[in-house]
Amino acid sequence: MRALFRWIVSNLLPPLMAFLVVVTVWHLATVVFQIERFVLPGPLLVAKSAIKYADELWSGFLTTGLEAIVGFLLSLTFGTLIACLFSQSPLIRRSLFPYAIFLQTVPIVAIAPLIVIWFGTGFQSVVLVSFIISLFPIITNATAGLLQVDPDLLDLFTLNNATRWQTLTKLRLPSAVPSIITGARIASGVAVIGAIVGEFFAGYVSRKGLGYLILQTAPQLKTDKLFATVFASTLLGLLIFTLISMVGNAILRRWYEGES
Amino acid sequence: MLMVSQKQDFQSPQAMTTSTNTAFIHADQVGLSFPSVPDVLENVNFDIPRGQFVSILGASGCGKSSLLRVMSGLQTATAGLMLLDGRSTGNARENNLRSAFVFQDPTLLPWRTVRSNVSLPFELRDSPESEYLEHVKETINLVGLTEADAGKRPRELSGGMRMRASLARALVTNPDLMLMDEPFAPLDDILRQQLNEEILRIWSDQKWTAVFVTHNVSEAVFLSQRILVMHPRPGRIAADIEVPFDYPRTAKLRATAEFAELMGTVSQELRRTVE
Repeated sequence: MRALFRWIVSNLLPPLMAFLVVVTVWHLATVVFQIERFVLPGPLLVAKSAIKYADELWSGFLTTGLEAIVGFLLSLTFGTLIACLFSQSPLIRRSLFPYAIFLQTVPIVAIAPLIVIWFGTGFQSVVLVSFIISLFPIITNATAGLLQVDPDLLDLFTLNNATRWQTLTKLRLPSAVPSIITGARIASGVAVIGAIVGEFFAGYVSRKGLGYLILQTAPQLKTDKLFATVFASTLLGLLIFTLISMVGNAILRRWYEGES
Repeated sequence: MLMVSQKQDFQSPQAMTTSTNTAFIHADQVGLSFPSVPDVLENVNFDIPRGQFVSILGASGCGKSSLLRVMSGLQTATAGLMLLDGRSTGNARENNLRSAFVFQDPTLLPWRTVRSNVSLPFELRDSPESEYLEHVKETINLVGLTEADAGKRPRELSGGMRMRASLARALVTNPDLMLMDEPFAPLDDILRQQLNEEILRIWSDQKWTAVFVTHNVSEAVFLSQRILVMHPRPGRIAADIEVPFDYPRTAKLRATAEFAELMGTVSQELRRTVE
C-alpha cells in the first residue's frame, strides 16, 4: 500500500502537475488574448466537445486501436523472422538490408495511394500502412540483438556441435529478447501513427477511426472536436506503448530473475 | 630434484618422436598467425600423455589462451600440427571426442537455471531428458552446489557459485579432456584455493587429461604434474617444469618449503620470459 502510494507520488504526480500547469496556461491564454475558438479553443471547450462526441471518439479509438495492434503484431512477427534470416549470414544482410532501410525512408504518403490501388480501402490497407512503418525498428533492434551474442557462448555452442537451428533457437533468440522488446516498444508508438496516417488515405470508405475523424473535422473548423480527437489519438498511443512496455518488462523479469 | 628443460629442447622435433605414439595431445611445430596479429604462436612443441594435469603458465598476451583454442579445435593452427588422440583437433571434436572447455567467465545462459545450464550439452545432442537428469543432479552436487542452487538463475548466484555451475556443465559430459582458460582468475584468493582443491579432488576421481591456463604461479604449482611456461611474441614454450608432489594434495602443501622452492623456480622462469 505504501509502495503504491510512493509509486504514485514519484511517477504519476510529476507528469500530472505538468499537465495541470499547461492546461492552466492554455486556459488563461485563450481568455486573456481572446483567441478565436476555431483557432485555439480553451481546454474547457475541448473537454465539453470530448463529452459531446464521446461515442464517436470511443468507436474511433477502438477502430484505430485494433488496426494499430494488428499492424504492430504483424511487424513484431515478420520483423523478428526477417531479423533471424539476417542473422544467418553477412551476405544476406548486405544484400537485403538496403531494402529494409527503404521501409524507413520511403514517404508513406507516397506509397499509400499504391496500397489503396492494390489492396483497396478499409481495414486491411490501414493495417498494412501501420505494419510497413512499424516494421523497421523491430528489424534493426532484433538483428542487433541476434548478432550481439557473447562470443564465448557462441564458442560453447560450437564446441558442443550445435546446429545452426539450435544456435538460433537456444542462444541467439533468447539473447535477443531484450533488444526485441526495445524494438517492440518503439514500434508500438509508430504503429499507432501508422494506423492514423493510413486512415487518412484508406479509411474513407469505412468512415471510422481517429484518423478519419481528424480528416473529416479539420475542414469544418470544429477545432474543439479536432483537439479532442488529437487527445484521443495521443491517449491511444500512450496506452499501447504502456501496455507493450508492461508486457515487455514482465517477460524480462520472468526470463532473467527468479524461479521459472 | 626438479627438471627444468630450456626451450631449445622443445624446438627440435626429434626430441619428441619417442613419445609421439602414446601422446594424448601432440603439438608439432604449431604456429598461429593472423594478418593483423602475426606470430601469436610459433613452433610450439609438446606431448601430453593421457590423464596428465598440465598447466600453461605465462604473462598476459603470451598466447596461452590461443594455444588452448587451438587444442579445442575452435581455432585451426596456421602452421604445424595439433593432434588429439592421434586425430586432428577439428576432427576430434566432430568425432565426439569428449573435450570440455571452461571459459574465463562462467558463460552461463542468464535465462536458464543452473540445472538447465548444466543440461545444455545433452540438449544440444538431442538426448532424452530421462537419460541425463540424474547425472546432471549428481554433477551439480559434485561441484558443491545444492539442490536449491540448481533451481536458481545465474544472476542469483555469487561469482564462485557461477564458476562451479560452469565447471559442472563441463564435467557433466564425462570429458576425456578438460581445457580450462583461467577459470578462477576473477575469484578472490581463498575461493580460488578452495576451488583448486576441489578440482583436484574431482580430477583424482575421474582422471581426465587437464590443460589449465593460468598466470598464477601458486595455482599452477599446486594443481599440476607439469608446467609449461610460455614466452610472449611469438608465443612459444620457454620451459617445461615437472612438479613432483604426490596426490592427493591438500591445503597443507602450500605451507611446505618444497612448495615455496618450486614456486621460486617457476617464478624465475616466468620472469625470464618477460625480461
